[in-house]
Amino acid sequence: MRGKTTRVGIGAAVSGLFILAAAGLAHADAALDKSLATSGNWPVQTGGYYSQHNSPLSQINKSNVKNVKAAWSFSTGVLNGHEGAPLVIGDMMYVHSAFPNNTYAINLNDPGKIVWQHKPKQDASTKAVMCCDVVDRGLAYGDGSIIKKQANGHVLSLDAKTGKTNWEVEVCDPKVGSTLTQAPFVAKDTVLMGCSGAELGVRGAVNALDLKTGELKWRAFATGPDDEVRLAKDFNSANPHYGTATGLGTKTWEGDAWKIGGGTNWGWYAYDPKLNLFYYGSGNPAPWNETMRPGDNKWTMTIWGRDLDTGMAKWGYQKTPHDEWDFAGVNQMVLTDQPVKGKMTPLLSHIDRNGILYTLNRENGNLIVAEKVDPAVNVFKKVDLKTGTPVRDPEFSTRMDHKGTNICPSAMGFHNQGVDSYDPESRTLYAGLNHICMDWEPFMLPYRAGQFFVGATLAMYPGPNGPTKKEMGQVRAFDLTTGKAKWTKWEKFAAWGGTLYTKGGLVWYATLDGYLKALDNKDGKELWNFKMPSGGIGSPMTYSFKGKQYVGSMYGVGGWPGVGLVFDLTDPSAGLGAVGAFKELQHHTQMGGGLMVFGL
Amino acid sequence: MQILKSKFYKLGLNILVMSIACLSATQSFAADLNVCAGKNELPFSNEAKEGFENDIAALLGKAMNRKVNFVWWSNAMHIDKDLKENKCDVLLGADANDPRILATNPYYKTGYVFVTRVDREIDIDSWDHPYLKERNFRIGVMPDSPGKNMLLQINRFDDMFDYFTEIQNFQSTRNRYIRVEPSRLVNDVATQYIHAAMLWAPEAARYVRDSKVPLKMTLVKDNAKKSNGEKIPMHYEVVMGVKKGNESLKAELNKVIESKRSEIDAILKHEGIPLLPLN
Repeated sequence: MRGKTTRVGIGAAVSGLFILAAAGLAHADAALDKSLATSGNWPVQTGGYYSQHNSPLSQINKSNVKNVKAAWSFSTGVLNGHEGAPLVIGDMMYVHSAFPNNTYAINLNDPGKIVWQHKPKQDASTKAVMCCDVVDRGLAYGDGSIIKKQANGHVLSLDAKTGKTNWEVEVCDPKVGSTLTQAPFVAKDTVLMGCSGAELGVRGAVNALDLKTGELKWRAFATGPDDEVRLAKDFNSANPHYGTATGLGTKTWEGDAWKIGGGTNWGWYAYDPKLNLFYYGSGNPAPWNETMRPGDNKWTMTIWGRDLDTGMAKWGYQKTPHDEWDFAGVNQMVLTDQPVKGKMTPLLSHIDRNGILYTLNRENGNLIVAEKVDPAVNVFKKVDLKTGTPVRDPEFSTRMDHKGTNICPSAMGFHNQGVDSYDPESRTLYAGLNHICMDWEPFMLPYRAGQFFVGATLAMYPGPNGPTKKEMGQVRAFDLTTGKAKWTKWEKFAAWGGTLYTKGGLVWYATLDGYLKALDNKDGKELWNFKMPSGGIGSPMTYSFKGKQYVGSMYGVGGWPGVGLVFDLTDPSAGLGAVGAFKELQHHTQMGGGLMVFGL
Repeated sequence: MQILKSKFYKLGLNILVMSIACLSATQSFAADLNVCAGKNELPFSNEAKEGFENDIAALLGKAMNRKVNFVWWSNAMHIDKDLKENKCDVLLGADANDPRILATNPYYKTGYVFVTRVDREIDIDSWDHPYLKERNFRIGVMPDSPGKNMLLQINRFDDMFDYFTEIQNFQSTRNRYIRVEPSRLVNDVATQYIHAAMLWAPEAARYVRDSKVPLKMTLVKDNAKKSNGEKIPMHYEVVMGVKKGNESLKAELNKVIESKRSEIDAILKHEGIPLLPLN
């Protein structure tokens, strides 16, 4: 079955569906699966359950991409960072915006008219507790409903036809610094949702809501006692050296610090219908000052494989024990089936902020590949495949008593929230990477009578390996079973939102300075570009309507400067040498917010 | 005018090592004393000059026969910035160990205090006290103050974490100055939202003095230690800070601190600050 789907070379979503059909699972969400099976729809942010973010559409191809023109555009009426992408189900498109998280339904027969809109009124104080810009990573679809979240912690189900609210529940409480930026994820009768706010000591958790009612089915925390982290009895039985269900979620913390230990998940989910496991990453531990939380701080920074129905974890692999860099481990998990040592193997690949590309067996968590995405990565010398632990280079650590220079990656990571794409025919992942390093100088400034400011002065600058040494981003093609790069396309600014692969042999991505580009998937040669009204930090999507293929991309720069703000990088008086990239970006693009749609 | 002033200032710097005669010569020209002070830092200072450091600055000006101008800062993280840039001459209320400034002799010494309600009869006076180790004993401290270090030592920080994020308005203090009104903690003691607050005595004094609900301040014994034996001081000397290298102004201020001691003490006592003897 798997071999067949690979041979015909259709996308992840569809291959996921075939497996689903084969397994004959009764409880799958029929509406979502039907939509996924209809080529031309785009009902999931990550392109499908397998999170391969690709499409079998091939009308736009290498030879005609030069004729691609803007078809229509839509302003969300909101500035700030626009991550994610619109959804398309049938002849309807659903567009989201940054805070206040507006939703617009557009009939593709007449994109000039808004069918319904949902514009929530939210307390502006919610914005104040959001760490890194007021982004929204998009919507989800299931059971004939649009599932949306609001920054204020609410999750809603709206009737996809009318916009009428089916249910509304509160999942996180902004009063304790917990907000929502993540795109909800629907699989079977479940909506998965995680809160943001590790920065403020929010204890991370993944919440499973009933798709029909919004009721909480279960909640699995990132830290704390095994029953609250929901570790199965045989947790990590294939890899006991990762840590087993022996109370590590409390033992690897000092005292009760796990209660405020962070590990929030605000990234992307993937789901394997055959194993009934879903996958995601828990984020960085809190508080930020690592001296205040000695220990491994489990289970922050962990790749999880959990049962969708019960939330019980079958395996968990902690990538960065005792994080010092804010390498929040929430990035995309890409599921593929590929031969490893001659045997077809269910794989999970993940490019972490720490600059390592991990490929694991998604059935049991066995570590297969852990390679640097760029030779510049120096915080780790390597990852020991036997123990699974990274070998740190103390020179490039960010302890409070240590000044470091040329630390790569910077706190922004070599890969951030972008969604990458996978081409099942050539078995290649196209990754949007950052190439930014940093100097770190901790400080403790006395103020009055033993009161101090603590923090670090950061200077961020392009990494060492670009052709002109000024490049801060790259799109790189990887073989996931070896971690080796096939080609690289350098970018002055990062492809922050990741890539889209379409079967016409094209790799699409938006750049921070506002270009939407299409590359040749064989060599990374740029075949087409278009300058959008504002910088792009979302991931492009594609759909077909009345026999014509379109590519859509959100525009609206943000997020990035938000990441800078965490470190106060924009305060010139702080003398932090505001990140060069951010300063330079102002000369290329300004704020905006909306959607551009392209076609032949 | 600004240019003129800074010229004189430079002149002063150039000759400060030469002789006292020169020094007094520049003094008679440099009429204004530019005092670096917090714009919104009550009870220390504010733009309306309602803080006790505003009063001490006025006293300095009088004693030195110089007109006082306030140069306001709003980010306490960079209190040395205006000094460095010659925008102001002297910073009041500085930490004697601040490596960024040249410190005068201390002009007063006091300590951290436990603030409690009189009627609750909570008689804590040191970090050894068993009450502090009780999970349900709620105590407030300022961000990144010695109190935070002690709460970490006795494993109470996590219990009070919610309170800290609340008073910090859910902002992380990393690399950032988050202004927390000391009056808020005193008020939270008065309303029994918390049992006690440990504050720097000058932060708390006037609010304790003016509280409608009778409150008391108890100086914290200076015996607090980390588990590794390292001392966490509870008593501190307070100095004035001048720009590094400005020995002449330092000497001048030291003279005023010496000669006007009783008047300085009077301002502090009126504020309600319990004073410890200066060595």
